[in-house]
Amino acid sequence: MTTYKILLTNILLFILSVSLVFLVTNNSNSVEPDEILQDQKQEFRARNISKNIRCMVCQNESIDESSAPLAKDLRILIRSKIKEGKKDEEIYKFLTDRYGDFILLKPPFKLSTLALWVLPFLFLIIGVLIVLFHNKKSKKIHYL
Amino acid sequence: MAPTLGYLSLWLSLFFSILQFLISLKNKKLKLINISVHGLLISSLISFFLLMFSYIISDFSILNVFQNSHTTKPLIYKIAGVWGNHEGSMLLWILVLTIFNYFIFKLHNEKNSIFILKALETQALITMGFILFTIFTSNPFERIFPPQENGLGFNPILQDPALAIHPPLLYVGYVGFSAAFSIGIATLTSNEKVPWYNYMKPFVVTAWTFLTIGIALGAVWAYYELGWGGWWFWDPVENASFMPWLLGTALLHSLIVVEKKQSLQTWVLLLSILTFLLSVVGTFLVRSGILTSVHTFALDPSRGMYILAFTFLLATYSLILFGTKSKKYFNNNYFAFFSREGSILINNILIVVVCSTVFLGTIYPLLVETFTSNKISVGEPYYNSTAVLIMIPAILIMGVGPILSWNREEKSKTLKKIFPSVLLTSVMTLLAFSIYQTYSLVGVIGIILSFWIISNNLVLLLKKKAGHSGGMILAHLGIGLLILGITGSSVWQEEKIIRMAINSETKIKEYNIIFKEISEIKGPNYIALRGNFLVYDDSKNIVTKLKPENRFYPVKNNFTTEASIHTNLFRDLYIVLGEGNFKDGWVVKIYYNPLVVWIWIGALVIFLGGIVSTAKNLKKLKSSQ
Repeated sequence: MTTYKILLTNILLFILSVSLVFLVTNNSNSVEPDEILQDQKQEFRARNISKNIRCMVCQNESIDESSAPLAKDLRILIRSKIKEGKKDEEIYKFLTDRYGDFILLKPPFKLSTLALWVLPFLFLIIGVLIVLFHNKKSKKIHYL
Repeated sequence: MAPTLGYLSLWLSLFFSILQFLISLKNKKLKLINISVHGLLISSLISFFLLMFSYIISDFSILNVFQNSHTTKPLIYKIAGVWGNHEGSMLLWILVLTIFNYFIFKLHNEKNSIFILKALETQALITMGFILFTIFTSNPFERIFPPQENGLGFNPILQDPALAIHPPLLYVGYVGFSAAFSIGIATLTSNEKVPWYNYMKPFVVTAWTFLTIGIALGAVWAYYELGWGGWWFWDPVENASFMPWLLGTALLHSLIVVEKKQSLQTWVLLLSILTFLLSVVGTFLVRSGILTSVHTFALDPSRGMYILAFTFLLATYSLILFGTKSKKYFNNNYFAFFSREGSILINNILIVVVCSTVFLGTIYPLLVETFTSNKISVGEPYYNSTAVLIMIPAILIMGVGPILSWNREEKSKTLKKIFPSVLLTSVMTLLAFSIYQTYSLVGVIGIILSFWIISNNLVLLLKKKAGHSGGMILAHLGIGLLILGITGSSVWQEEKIIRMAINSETKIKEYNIIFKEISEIKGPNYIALRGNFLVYDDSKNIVTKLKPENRFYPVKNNFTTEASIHTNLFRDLYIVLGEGNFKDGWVVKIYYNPLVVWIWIGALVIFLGGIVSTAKNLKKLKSSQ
């Protein structure tokens, strides 16, 4: 290892670290200060909607959590719609018209998602019936 | 040399697993069984450690090492690199399978010989399936010509101590259920009168305990690595580990009923089959790349097809067997609602409902995408309004269950028994809300549930004479603490997202936070920007210095954020550094996360409870042998 080589590595690292300061710009995470609305109620609504909207280019993240540029665009879009005086439902509708149901983290209740929404509660009812059946039988045995 | 030997050793394990299968099928020569069980264990140990050795010496003539390692990587991550990728993690699967295979063999004595050989037969079959899978679709010892100068590195986001030990713990859990499966199958196929549930229980408790701590470490990692203060995301990969955990929990509890009342035997056999099947399905979901999720890195349909076919065969075989053979274990021991076994039954059913819901939510997007032209997402809001909702009654019952007596409980007596815990719960709940002073339905429910569990178990702890198992009390107490942490952090979290210049100041709750400086630092294989934040309380005393980092890993050309966290028993202060420059300042996200530490304490206490229970069950088994 020559001093020349060490010098080179250090210069390289120096360049890297300087460029880091610029590169880090890519690494913002989720909601940024400049996006936040002044009106606290409106901001609260925006955050709530964002938590239910999927970041389309990410993996299982809401746009509220994501640092992807597309998520940022959508956050800004939602806020501008709120400022325009749009209701939550209108904003959801606008988004699903544009991107499809895939964008909703809570799937809508419709024919194709019927089983998804109904089955858990159907299972629950069946379970409760089993327990009641068990209880009834046990009483019969007890009184015999 | 090492890769050739490792590969050879893998073939040797295949040979021993086939040998074990054939001999136990004919169930004759015990000596040969002995050789094959030990041979299998030793050969898989050898191949596993040879891969580890190749990682440590950075042997870049191996494709797997080249793709996942680098000379600059710290030693611990070189070691963890073995299971940080698909091929290596399959090798770990096999190793754990053979270790449990060995422990099943250790149960062998003259009385249960036929039964244990049956179990070993199934275990050998499973092991064979995974070794074949590894050799033909995911060979970790594949060579690369010519050998490379250096490796491609390792996803830096995974370079973390919690995540380094997360997979082995998780795998002990997943794979531990294979032993319960094998014992369950042996129970169905053999006609021996053996205390099969006594054999099954230590395996189930061990697997469950390790799965618990494995999942918890994954959550810890997500909490400080992903940088938005969350720790559970209902990600399909998380669900893949949560589903076996749920069914394992049900299995564990109904095994107690079998032990005490000889009841629910068919139910336990079904659960032992389903729990392991879900572990394999989980592996399929994660390893096939069928899910698009944070954790999925490999995409290769041939692997997916193999595991799918394997799962399908295993499921068909075991469920048909259950359908035809389980009748002999069925009995008419119906029991009452108001009894300890009644409470276990109800909770078993609720857990299965929750598990089915999670299963539905995990695979539904795949079904919709396959059968319609539509695409949907199933995320956290879905689970909150289904699975979480169904858990609430289960937790209420969990609090009171251990207090009830077996067989039948008078309703008036129950009221008297639960009076102290009702009182304690009310007092603690009022106290909690007088401290935090914000109310929400979720908060109220969460706090009540948590103190309900905690106070019931404290009462049990004080009433020693009732003869409750210490492991149970600990584990249940841990659940109470866990719920406390979950509730606190999700209901009372506060966040502040601002742009801060050097020397500027901000306030969150009672803390003043000053952004002192930003500096560049050099880590072992990364460089980073590190912010320095001074935290003062309202009486101007310094509380801590927080130093969040933005790291850059040149090898993978990758950024990560390292949150900086100050923890005490009441809250976490959590700071993440975002983008910025000296002129406009930096984006800073500050979270005030109440009670988070109780999530980790809770998980740890559950783990300890599991360990205590494992030890007790092993002792009981030994004395009965």
